[in-house]
Amino acid sequence: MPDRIEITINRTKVEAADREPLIDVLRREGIYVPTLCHHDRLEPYGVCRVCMVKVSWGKKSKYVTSCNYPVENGDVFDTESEDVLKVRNMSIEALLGRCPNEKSVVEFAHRHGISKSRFSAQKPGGDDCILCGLCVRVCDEIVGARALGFMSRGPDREVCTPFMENPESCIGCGVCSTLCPTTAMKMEGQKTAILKSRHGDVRPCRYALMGFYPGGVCANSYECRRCDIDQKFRELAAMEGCEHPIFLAREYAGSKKGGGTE
Amino acid sequence: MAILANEIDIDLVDRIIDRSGSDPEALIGILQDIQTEWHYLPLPALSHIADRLGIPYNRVWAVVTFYEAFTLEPLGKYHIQICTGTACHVRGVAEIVRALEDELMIETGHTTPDGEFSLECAHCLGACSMGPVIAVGDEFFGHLTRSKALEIIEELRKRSGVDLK
Amino acid sequence: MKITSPAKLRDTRNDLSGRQAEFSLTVTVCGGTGCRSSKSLAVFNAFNKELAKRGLSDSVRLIMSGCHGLCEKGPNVLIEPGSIYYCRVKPEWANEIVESTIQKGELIEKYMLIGLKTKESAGNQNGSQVHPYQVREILKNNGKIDPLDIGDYITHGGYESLSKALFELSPENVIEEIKKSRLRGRGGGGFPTGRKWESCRKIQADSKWVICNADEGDPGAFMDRSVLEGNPHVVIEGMIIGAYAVGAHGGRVYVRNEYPLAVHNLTVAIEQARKWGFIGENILGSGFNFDIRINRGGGAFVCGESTALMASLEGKPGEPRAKYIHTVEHGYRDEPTVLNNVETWANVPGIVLYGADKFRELGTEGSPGTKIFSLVGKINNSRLVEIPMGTTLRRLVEDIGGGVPNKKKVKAVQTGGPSGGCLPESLFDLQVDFDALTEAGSMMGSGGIIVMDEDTCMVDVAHYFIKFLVSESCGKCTPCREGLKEMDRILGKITKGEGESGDLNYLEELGEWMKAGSLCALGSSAPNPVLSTLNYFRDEYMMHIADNKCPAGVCKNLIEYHVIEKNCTGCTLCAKVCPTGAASGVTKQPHSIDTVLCIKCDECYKACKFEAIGK
Repeated sequence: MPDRIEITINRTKVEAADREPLIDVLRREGIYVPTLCHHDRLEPYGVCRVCMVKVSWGKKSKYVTSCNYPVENGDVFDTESEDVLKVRNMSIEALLGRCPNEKSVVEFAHRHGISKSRFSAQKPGGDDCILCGLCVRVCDEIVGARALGFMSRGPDREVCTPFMENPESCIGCGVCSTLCPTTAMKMEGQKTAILKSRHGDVRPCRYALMGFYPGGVCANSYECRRCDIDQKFRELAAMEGCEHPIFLAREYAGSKKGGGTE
Repeated sequence: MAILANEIDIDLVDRIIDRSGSDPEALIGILQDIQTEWHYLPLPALSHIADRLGIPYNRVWAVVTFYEAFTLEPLGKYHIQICTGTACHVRGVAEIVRALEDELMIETGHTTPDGEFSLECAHCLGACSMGPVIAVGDEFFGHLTRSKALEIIEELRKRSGVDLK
Repeated sequence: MKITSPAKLRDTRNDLSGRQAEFSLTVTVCGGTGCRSSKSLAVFNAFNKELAKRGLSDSVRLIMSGCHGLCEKGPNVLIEPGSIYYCRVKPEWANEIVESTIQKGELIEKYMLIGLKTKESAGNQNGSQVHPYQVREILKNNGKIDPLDIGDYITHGGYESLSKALFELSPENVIEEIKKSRLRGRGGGGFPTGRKWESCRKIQADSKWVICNADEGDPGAFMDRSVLEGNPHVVIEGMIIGAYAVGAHGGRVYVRNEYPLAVHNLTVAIEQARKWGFIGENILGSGFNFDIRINRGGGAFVCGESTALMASLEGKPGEPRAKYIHTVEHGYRDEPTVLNNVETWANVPGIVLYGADKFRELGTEGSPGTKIFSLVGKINNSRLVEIPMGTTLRRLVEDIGGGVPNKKKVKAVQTGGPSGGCLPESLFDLQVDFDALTEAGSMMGSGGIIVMDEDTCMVDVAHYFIKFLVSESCGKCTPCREGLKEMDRILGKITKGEGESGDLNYLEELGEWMKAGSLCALGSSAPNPVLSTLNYFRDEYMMHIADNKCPAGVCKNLIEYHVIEKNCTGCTLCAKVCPTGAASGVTKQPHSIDTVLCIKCDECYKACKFEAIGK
């Protein structure tokens, strides 16, 4: 058993496990800090910076991301002061500026009291993608297909398929779009084409004898475990020791309204 | 040396990979050697490298598009590097960039349609005492003014004419 | 031939020194990149031919060395003994120099270095005046030794420090000495090197690494390159000692591929060191094993950040990782790693050999030792300098750099590269060390110093750095990616004359957010160029915004070229250089500029000898 330690969050003493991620402590204590790029089943990524809090030791202090900060004995956290909110809100404002017309981002910003952004969008009309990397990471870490990745750097960074081509390794599971917090990752256009090229316009669904199911994520989260995609998951899971993504998809369906499927 | 984009010499790619000991960590070095050979990175070579080294395609693609050194567009016969280091900047290199872009009718980072010239902004060529400075291959031209820069292009065009004979 | 014991190293050194003594003269041609770009290779070849022709090849030693430091006057040639220094040497001169100076011992006054400060020829021994006010500790062998000949390094005391460390000191002793020296990382952050090594030493692990960061990415900086080109073995020796101290058996050098000469010299040096038994198995018979491999960088400034560099070494994109774990615990390949830059490693052999007390005799209390700077920009002598920490900026700019050219007034210096800041002339009495620069809102960085005169627009300079950083940010975290893009936009607006009153506060707000919220040091230091210029040159920003004026005459949208009639002599030079025919006039009559045709290329302004062009 890991050693128990004591930390302070907003002037209240709290017990935690040594080097436990701060976000887990915050969730347990019911203290709200927003997150965008975090997912419990994935390696912490720490890039959206909307979960930042201040940690101090005596006179020294710094801002850290709660999703991956390992707590240590004596850490003093501030998750709600004006300074902290300022840093967090600026990140939210920046993402709103990047995606001024993306429904989920607008809603997210609104929930945090931000309705206007001074930032201007790079793409005309705004972007749909906040570069949280959930899609890339789930495909790498859990599905094991590595069909998505990043390209370029700086303001040009974007999510794409390797070589901008239809990735042969894509099994068309659609988990990327399920996890996408915005509407950027859709199994349509180029990406659906990939799926269709692999399985035809429709794929046979043996679940409940529905006949055929249009290309896209399974409405039943592959629960019947009978279709060829599900078969692929099992093979991958056995081979790479990774997890069957239906668990992810199922967990997420509950927490997310108006999911990314069509 | 340079071969058409769609038919590259896979044996040569293999030799370059072998030289590195087929080490996935040597990816960047291998790509540099490929680029030295072809003056750009031909796509078929990339997937071949990934297969040989056992690196996922998405990582190769991320590496290729991340680093400044790599280009997917063939470079011109005369690859002009304009030093845009700080010393050259305060000595007015921006005007040289503008002059060369106007003269060659391409933006930096691109190649003229005839394949003769390509322009690139380099962050520092290390010849700060000669700034503003450009390098064409191994040759340096320093203390540039707008007109001097244009004379160099003229000179290179002439050389090209001679080469063709 | 492998050297298998300290005694054999001494024998070899004596043997080599004896052989070198057979030469009566040594001619050293500078082979640094600056001199090479002004064709010093041709000079070397001309000397080689000339010496052979006269049958002097056996009595005169000709070497191509690393950077001498005096880049402005290159190609440079040093003749020893006598310290005769010839500048801007042309290949055609070889004949005359060999005949007069080498054969007859006569000086050729007209080719000699003119005293840097006095404007007079320094006469004999002028070579000793090449580096006024400098203390060349790290660079002392640059310009003396042939970087491609390990024997030359050994003759000059090379690998003696390694021998001492391996046979007279325990790893703990070495770390103690480095700690006592208070050596701080020369790559920019200034973290105490000894403490870093100690943390790594304490970790139990089967495999540890030492890495040399030679990815010198600051535009306008060439310190590390000059060391690698001129004296690669000192870096290698430092790394072996470091590896011994922390218990590492593998080393990596991450070097910019844009430095082909550095890559080449280092590759040759590593091969030679391996052949002679300084790296590999059972080094010098001590039982210690260590080997080094070179990795060429792909061209990314962010790889100066330690975790990005390690990702790049592993063949991945150079993205910093967001983890609150030190690289001394989990670094390269997730194993304990000590990362130091070229100059830091190059300091190590001297400290171990001569002791920490000797090292601390130079420099300041908090930042002992010397520091190499590349002094460039609007300065008479662009050059590489090595000075004790604590030297003032004024000494650097005025005495060593020879001031600003063309009777212009010096305005500021920029230190620390794109993560540093601009310091105004009023702060030139500042004693340069890690803490003083940080306190003034800039930073040491790796050591680029860019001098700016009254014709430099500070808003434009800030914009230049931000544009650089936009293209170099990895784009992973929100503040760096979105913040830099936004700063670029706002500064672009201001330089175009479209600035608004709230812009400066907005820039500051962005800066504070990026400092607090960015994932890595690139992002958190990225606002420095903007914040420091806003701090010291706010008026200049205000003039752009409120008056639509660029006082330095740089921002094209805010200036208009015109002829100052009372100064114009009608020499027609402006009309001759004007590419569009906008400048025109009759000989000996005041000229004029047609603002419709004018493309603001600045040619007439630069060409005019009578200050008759206004903007």
